[in-house]
Amino acid sequence: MQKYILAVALLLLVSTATTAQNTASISGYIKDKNTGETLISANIALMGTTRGTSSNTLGYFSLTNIPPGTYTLVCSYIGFEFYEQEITLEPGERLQLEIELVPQVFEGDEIVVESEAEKERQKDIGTAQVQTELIKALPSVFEADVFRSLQLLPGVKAASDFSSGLYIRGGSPDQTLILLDRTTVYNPSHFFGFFSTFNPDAIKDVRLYKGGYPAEYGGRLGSVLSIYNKDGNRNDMRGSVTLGMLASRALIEGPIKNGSYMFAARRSTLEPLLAALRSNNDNIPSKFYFLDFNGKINYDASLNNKFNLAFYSGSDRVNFPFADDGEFSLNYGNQTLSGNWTHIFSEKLFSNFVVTGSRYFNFPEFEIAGTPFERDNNIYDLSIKADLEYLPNEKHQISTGIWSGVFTLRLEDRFDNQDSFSSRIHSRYNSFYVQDTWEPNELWRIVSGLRFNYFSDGQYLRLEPRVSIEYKPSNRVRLQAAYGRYNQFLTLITNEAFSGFDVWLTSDDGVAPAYGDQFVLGAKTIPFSNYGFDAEIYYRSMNDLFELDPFLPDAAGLDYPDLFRVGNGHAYGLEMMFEKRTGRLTGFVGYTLGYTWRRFPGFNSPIFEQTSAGRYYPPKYDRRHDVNLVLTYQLSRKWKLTSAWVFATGQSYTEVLGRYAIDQPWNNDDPNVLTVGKVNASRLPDYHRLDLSFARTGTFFGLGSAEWQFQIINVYSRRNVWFYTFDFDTNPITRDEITLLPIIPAVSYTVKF
Amino acid sequence: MTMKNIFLTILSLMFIVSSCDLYPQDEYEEFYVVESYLVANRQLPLLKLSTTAPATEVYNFDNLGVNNATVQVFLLEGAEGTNPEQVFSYTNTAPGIYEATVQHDVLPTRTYQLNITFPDPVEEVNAFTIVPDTFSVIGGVPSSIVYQSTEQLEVTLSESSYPGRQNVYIFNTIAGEPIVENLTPLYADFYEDEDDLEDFANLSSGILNEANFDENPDGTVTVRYPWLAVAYFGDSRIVANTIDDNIYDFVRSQSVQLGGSTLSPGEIQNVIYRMEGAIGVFGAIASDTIQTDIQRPSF
Repeated sequence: MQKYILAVALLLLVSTATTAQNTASISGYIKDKNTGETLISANIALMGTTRGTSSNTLGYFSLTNIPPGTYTLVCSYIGFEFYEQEITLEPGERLQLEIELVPQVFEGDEIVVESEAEKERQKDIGTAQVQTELIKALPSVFEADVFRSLQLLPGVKAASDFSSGLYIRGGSPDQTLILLDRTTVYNPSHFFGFFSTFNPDAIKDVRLYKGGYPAEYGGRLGSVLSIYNKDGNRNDMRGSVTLGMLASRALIEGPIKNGSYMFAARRSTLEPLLAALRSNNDNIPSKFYFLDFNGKINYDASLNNKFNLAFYSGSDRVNFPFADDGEFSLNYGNQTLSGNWTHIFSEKLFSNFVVTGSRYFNFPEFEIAGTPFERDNNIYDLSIKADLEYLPNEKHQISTGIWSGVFTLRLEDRFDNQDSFSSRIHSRYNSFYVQDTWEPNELWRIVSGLRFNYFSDGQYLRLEPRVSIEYKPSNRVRLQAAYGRYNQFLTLITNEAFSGFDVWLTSDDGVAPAYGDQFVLGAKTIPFSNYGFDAEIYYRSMNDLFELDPFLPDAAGLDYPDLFRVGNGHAYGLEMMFEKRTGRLTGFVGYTLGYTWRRFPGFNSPIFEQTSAGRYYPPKYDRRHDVNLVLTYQLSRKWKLTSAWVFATGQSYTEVLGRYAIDQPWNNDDPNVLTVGKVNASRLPDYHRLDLSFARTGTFFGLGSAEWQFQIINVYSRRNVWFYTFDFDTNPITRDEITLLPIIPAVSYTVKF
Repeated sequence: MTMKNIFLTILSLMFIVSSCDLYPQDEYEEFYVVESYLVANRQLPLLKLSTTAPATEVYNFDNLGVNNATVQVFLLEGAEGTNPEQVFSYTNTAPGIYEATVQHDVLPTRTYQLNITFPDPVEEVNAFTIVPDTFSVIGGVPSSIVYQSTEQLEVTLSESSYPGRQNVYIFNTIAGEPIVENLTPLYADFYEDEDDLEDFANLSSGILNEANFDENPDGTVTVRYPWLAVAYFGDSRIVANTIDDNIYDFVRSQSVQLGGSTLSPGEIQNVIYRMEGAIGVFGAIASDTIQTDIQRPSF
């Protein structure tokens, strides 16, 4: 495969050299004038022509085959002032530009938040972008959180208030590939799933491909979340410090010679609260904190050669002496490192090369009555990526790339000072893609691609065709359709309530990778000026879903395929979003109608047909209707109100219908046995919650800007139900509600200098 | 069709689709419940026969016991499906309780069939079990051992087998004098009321595969008995049980009905049953017991 890739690259190089010399080209980077940060997906066009494009994930753009002449170059990006520049192109000229956009500011007493760019924003099918400013403005439980913000988008669901896991279009969290600066992150959570690991201060761009994602990505059945950290301010040294109730964070960024740096740190600050609680309660952890660091260093060797090195390191630690002779401790976290080289061969050939390393670890330990249990769980993922973008003419953009890596999973359990389980999986994966974006005219845009995946354990080679079509009948309407085949070689062993023990396992001999097809139809419209209305319907299949058999009591001595149950599923739904994009009041209302189903052999079968194929059932996170209303209102120059109201039909649960008791000879528990009908055929009460955030900006003793944030989570304190438990000490048994978050106030203070 | 009409049509379709209940909740259904455990080389055990109760009603076995059923256990000539070699009839001795009318020592490695018939309405229950091979604790165990000392209790079990899979064990510790004063520190901390004393008096390990244990060259396996399994100081009996497939499926699925697995909270499934016409367990075990005195440490 490597030989083939080399041949493709050479072919692109040769064809670049033979380009006709009569036309001109414009290429370069689009940046924030204040910080020098490159801007992703900024729009650039030649006014009065049909020629335009958007910057790629490195902020680079290229317009080729332009007839010589004088043009007005325009550029737009949400939150920035409109940019225009007159240029004159000579025959054969290759104009290189660094376009610097000026962030919008409030001037005078009148507040005008306007962005014409938004009207033109390119929105690919199945994608969503969340502005980092919105992430920080949204009310959140103690700490601004990327995943909590994403959960407000149509098609993205939360399992509970306690879980930041992303359940996208009927898929479980392991069906979403999560990339930080192009590096896979395997457990992006703090506090056992309560928060995501990503520090909102350090983030530049959050891009979610909910479905039908392009050939550039692979390895997951459902979605891709790609997050880019900031490069760092290239003009001035800047910083910020935020003090919050649960966590505090700090960031510093600034220029270096031909480059920039950014370092951010965050740590929970629960200790005073825990100390206070310990004075009155026994069951309080003796240690409980999380810590993370982000960093990035950029160096521009030349205009055509740019390098950066990015890292992330985060961990959670807890020590919990839960009894006189029992203690639990856990240390888990992620570390990522990526080195990136961007090289521009010519205005027609852009390349990016990345070396990535990712580690996920968890080390739980129990010491109970002199009996220790220890686990060492490590995942190492080392990979190289190479991506090329080639523009043979104004109608085509060809992308191709490879992603090869080595995945090592080491899991060792020790019980009572003896090895009880040991597994080491060492796999290679290789993928290659080629994709053509064809715009035959201004009405049509067709993206077709093919991705090859190879996974060494089991020698699995999989082919994934992808295609998306966009038709633009008018300036205000885009009609879109997409299809894709997706494969997944990994499965996650986790629990919705607690993600600190997560274990990933792979396909292998006898355990085929899961695969599925996705079909998406969508419409992106601008019904009125400054408003947007988007709708998508989707259907996706999930086959050969392999997951740890939930009834497996002990894995010792079993063959690898015996660890799993293998089933299938499908999901379909409708998503709509109505958005007000500019003005004093901005925000959106999103609606999702969703269905998701799973089936595993013998599971959810009629009680006397348990060897059958099983019936389809909805997983717990299945919700029929979801409504999210997110509004931001600029009350005055200093005050801003952000609100989020969520309504969702209740999650599914299994109604207990009958019971009996038994007398097992090996214990005195006399366990109660429950009988049920169909699994998850009942619904919890509807979920709804209103969160508010008031932000006031000001100055910090003239040294910098400052912001107070006052938040109320669950304003009307609705006690939404998480699940039911049963009390068998009563006869008849009684059902108790385990509820989610009550009303929670929070306050934070941020200083920027 | 105008945009408005298209929008209204979509809304109407959505309403129709979403208002259809594709997956209705079932009603409560009553089932016969069977419970009986054959033990290799011991007399045929009693059998309990009852029905389930609705979850919202009071559960009382005496009221739910099923009487006047015809209960028989067959020793089969070979595997499941072969003819009976011997037939053992049971008689109804108490509400829901049936006892064998003849003496019979359960034979290891043999297949037994349970057959229950009901006169009105005519219904039938059938279940099969393969009795695990017997084994014994060999090499002896110390008569006393100090709790949490470095010399941990080790138990060596003779070689045995079960058709089609490795042996699967459940260990339990039975306390000789289960009183509060004898509780070990961990269980003393967990202790809340008198019911706990009884629960702690017979502690189970849960299911353990034989591959967890050290395999010796002579085919025996050695188990280091964890201190966690000891709730009381004093005389204790430690029982090693190998279990059949019926018990294995029952225990592993029952134990996660209310959590403790990868299933989401509230996602409850029925227990895995290997029985026709009823639910419950018709299982078989082989076991051996040792006795030792767990002494208090000097700290």
